[in-house]
Amino acid sequence: MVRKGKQRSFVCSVTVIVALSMAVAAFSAPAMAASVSGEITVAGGKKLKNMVIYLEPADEKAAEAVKNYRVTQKGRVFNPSVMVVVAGSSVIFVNDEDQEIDHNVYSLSRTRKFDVGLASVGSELVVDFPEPGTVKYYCSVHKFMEGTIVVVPSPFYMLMEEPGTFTLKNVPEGAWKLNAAISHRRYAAEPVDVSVSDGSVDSVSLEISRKRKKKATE
Amino acid sequence: MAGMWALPVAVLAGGCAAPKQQRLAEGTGAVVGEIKARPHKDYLKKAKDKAQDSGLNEGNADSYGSFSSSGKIVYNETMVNYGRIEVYAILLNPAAEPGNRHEVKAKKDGGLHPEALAVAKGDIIHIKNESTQPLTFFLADINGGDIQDVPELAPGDSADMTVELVGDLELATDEDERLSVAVLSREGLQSRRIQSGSSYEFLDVPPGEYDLLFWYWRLGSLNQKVTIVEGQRTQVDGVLSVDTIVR
Repeated sequence: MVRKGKQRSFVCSVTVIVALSMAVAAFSAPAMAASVSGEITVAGGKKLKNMVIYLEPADEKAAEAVKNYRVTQKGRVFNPSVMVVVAGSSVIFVNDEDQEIDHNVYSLSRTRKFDVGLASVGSELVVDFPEPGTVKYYCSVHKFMEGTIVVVPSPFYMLMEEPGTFTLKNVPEGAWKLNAAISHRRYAAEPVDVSVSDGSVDSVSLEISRKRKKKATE
Repeated sequence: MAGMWALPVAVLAGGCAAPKQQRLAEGTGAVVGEIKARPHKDYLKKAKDKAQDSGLNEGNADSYGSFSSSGKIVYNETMVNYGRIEVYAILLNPAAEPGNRHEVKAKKDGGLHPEALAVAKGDIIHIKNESTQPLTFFLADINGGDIQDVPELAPGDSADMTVELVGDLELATDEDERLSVAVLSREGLQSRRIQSGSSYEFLDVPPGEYDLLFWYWRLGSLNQKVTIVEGQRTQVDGVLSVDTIVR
């Protein structure tokens, strides 16, 4: 669950795209791989931010790899504050403050509840994320410290700053679902089936729309 | 969000001892107690050790907080001040009538107040837009897809939203993702919002078994069953902390 860990993962503190390319590079070469590209559209033209579109394995052929990621704590800030990891991965929470500041990283999220205990300067505490979902976490000591980890079901994902075109490279053949995690609670994506075989799959369209309003009679 | 816990429970005979106790209505009982929020136990232990090592009291307040001569932790401005936060005592009483009013305000500086609300299904959230931009408020289940909303509010406008959703919710706006209020909604919810370290009481409750929750939005909730006995004040105290909730 939560354990002491050595420094053993790559740094993905710049953008999630960096993590994507490294995750893909580490993936054992499939017999066939292809790109999946298309366009994200939003009903009503809303300029949404921070969407993670991803492919979810839908058959055994599409099953996936495990990587480690790092979140640092310096100046009472989590860095990166938003991270995307693949289900089955671990995240190392590193306290690299330059003075004696302890943290206590924890989450109450349904996807992954954890408490790493007291994290002193220099500590590296490891938390695994076995299930896909969104995990919001905090430091119980410092009031403005919070972060989000989006756990996706495969390494084929991309963090998008705004709606538009995307490309997911080196996708192994198989049946997949294209989906998106969106931080804005008002919006949700309708997953799309994608079949990858002996060539690139272009022009896949994933629509994000406002969630249905609950009826008063429900 | 929820954790089950075992806490000290005492039963006080109705009407005895405390001189200012309100008399209970005939055929009813009460649950009373104190809720305290505190830092993680490992953090507290280290802070105490540091304070003792450094001759006590002022310690290393800039980065770690410190202890006062009375033994209370002194928080610096970067820390969650567990002595001042507002926590909720919540009793789930199926017989309780909904319709209580709660107020949420979008402030001129861009924030929302309060940062958390405990509501019953059927309660009313009165939303005031005192900001300088139009805002469209909606209530969303953070673990599901359900949503309800009110029409866009121009600056200065207000609206009532009758709570239809039950669960762990968030009141947010279309226009600005940073604006949100944590909302805990349950059927038959009765609540008392108090400062950490203060007392709560639910009086004149019909005898029976109820769910009792202590909640602070950033820490989640402690849940337990409490039995209300006619003519008695059942005392249930609680400590809200990461180490008492995340187990």
